[in-house]
Amino acid sequence: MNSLFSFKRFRLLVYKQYNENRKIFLISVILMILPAIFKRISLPIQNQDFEFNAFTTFLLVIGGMFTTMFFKEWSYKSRSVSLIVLPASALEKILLVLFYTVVVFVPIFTILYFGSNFVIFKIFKQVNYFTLLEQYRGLSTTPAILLYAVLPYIFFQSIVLLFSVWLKKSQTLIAFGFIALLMIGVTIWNSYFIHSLIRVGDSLPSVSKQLVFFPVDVSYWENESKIRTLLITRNNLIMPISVIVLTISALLFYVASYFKLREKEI
Amino acid sequence: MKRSNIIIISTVLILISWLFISGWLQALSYNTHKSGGISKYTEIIGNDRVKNIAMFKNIKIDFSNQSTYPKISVFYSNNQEITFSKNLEKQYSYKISRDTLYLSINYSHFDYQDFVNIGIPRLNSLKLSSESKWSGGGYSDVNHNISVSGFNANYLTLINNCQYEIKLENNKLKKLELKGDFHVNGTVNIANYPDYDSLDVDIEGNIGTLILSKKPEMSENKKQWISIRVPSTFKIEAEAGAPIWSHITIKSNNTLSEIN
Amino acid sequence: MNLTLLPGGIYGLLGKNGAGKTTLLKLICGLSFPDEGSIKVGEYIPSKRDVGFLSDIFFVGEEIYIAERTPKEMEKYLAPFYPSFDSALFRELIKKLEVDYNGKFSQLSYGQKKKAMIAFAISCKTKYLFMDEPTNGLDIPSKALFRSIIASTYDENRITVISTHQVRDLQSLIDNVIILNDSQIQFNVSMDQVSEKLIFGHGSLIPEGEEPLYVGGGELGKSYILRNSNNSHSQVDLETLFNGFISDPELFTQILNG
Repeated sequence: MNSLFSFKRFRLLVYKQYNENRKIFLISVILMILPAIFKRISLPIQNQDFEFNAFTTFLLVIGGMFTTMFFKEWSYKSRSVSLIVLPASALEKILLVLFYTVVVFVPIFTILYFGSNFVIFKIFKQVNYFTLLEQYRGLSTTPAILLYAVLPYIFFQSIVLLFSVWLKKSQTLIAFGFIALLMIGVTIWNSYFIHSLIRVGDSLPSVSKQLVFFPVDVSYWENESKIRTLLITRNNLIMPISVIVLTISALLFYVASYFKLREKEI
Repeated sequence: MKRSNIIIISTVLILISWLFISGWLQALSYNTHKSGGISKYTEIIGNDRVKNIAMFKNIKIDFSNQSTYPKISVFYSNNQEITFSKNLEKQYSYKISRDTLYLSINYSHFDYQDFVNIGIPRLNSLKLSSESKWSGGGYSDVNHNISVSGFNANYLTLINNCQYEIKLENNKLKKLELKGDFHVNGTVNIANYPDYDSLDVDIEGNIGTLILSKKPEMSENKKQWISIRVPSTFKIEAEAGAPIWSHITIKSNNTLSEIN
Repeated sequence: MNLTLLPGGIYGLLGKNGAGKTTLLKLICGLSFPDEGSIKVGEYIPSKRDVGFLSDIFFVGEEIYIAERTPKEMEKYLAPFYPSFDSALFRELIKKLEVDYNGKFSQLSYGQKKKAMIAFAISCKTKYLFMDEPTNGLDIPSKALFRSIIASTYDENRITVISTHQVRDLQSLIDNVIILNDSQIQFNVSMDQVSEKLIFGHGSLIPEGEEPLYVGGGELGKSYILRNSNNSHSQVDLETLFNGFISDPELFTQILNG
């Protein structure tokens, strides 16, 4: 049996984890329908950006909290001992978390979220929700979801996982606090620094709708009458590099989590 | 230093560096485009500007039977121009015949950033029709509408037979005429209604909404001639106590609602 | 600190509170890492936490945590991680210790949970078994059962280390004693070696001729330790030994290491 990774051992881990948290998993599945219902009841269908951002936000928040569940034991000495001495490699233990929080969670949540929205749309006979999602920023639905929801989720979740393994207490609070600061910082960066670099004659255009994390897909300029005069999308250099940078960063954070687990002392 | 900390610090440095570099590249491409140059790594896929078109003073837009529509701006411009967003390709067709622009939109792939801009020095009439059965409701991005703006002229006739949201703003006309059946719950928002010396509204139809608003600092137009006749099933939104209420004739029982 | 443990030994790790017993066990199990020096358990380095190493050790801590809901679930979900797990032995021990095989841990007392954990630990048949204060929380009959179970499941290839400050509980169980003081190993000797060098006695009459190395008041009257100068044999009294050591660490260290 390979000492770094064994499918047999990994399967045992998956079953063990499922058995321990059966109740929480089942309740979570039911709860995953709530965001869609809550959002639809409180707000009518907004524009595409809003709908995608809403989905992504719910994905990040719920997925992030789910991730912290796996290592919340650190604050209890007896539980952390059992976590460490369990005969499985650190790699298997980290992959276990990724299995549940990415491979299982993302598709289930996506299906439940859009499924509930679809049902609600049918009930209220409103604008066809799915035409809103057919083409987003020039991509069809699946690539759009992968790029604008799943990739941010993986990046975000890799940071949450790192904090979960690293910290002994209050992992959820600190991880989310850190990410909130990060997002505020990047948004301020986008708004002020880049804005200040742009010179168009004597006046600055109102640049809007930038992707929060990276200025990858800047869109249109509007004048006072909201008439759109110019559209720049699909930055051929920045966009692919940003995707690569975010993916590699997420992977590196996963690797760091692995080493943090190995370096953990009781 | 622990291996994990080395990895974390390196990753954070990569992220921060890319944040700076990408921001700088982005700004650079903006400046290049705006000053008329071509940026090697940025593709403008926004506009498809139609040039050399015959003059027209009337517009007829037909929305076919889709549930959503691209943002449409009809605005005053010295030079006549039509601009379509690139992704709208193959979802519209137009022809110009005898002073009238016939625009047919068959919108099947919704993209929030789609738009049609029609700049025209003079607009006499705008007619909008739709065959769609969708109510168009529950969709409330305030910027997503069909807008008519910037005209300072004699008259404009607007015939609304579609269920989308139409907004008239920043116009100064001697006469604004509004007709139509508002097809399955359309909305017309007449912003700054005192700007029209003569406001003649006569609506047929079953369900729809008419909004009459003005900026708080704007005073009523004492010379204004107003006639607003709407069916009983229509919804009217206007400021409570505004003089405009006295010019509204309900064709039979109606539900009134007020804003502010 | 230098320490070597050999297969087949049941080691009692004794020391006052704060002597470093738990720390030593954690170092051996790979739960903590040494600042200096090296530790090897068989061919493994504990801090690397290889799967082979983890499946060959079992650590029963002072505070136990069982993720599973019942002993039955432990057998189903936790046991597969230990290749040498003996199901029949587990069920037999559970029964002996009077723990309900299908009983929910949430409804069991701390002592019951501990017994289940001890039964599981022994049934894993790992090469190395470490227990930190295993008799804490056990009633007197259970403590006796514990001793008999450890004795009856003796494995000549296994190293067992039991750390406790309740010295009496290890009486006639261990065959080696290690005493820790101020994070230093004072001595690591077999019980045979102890009885070669020391004589233990009880009662109010101390034999004449020898100056006792230690005299203590016990429940059965006085207990005392004499130097064994004429190869007599006496039963090692762990508690008295420990108390004697506490009273004069240097003396006893010198005698037992000499």
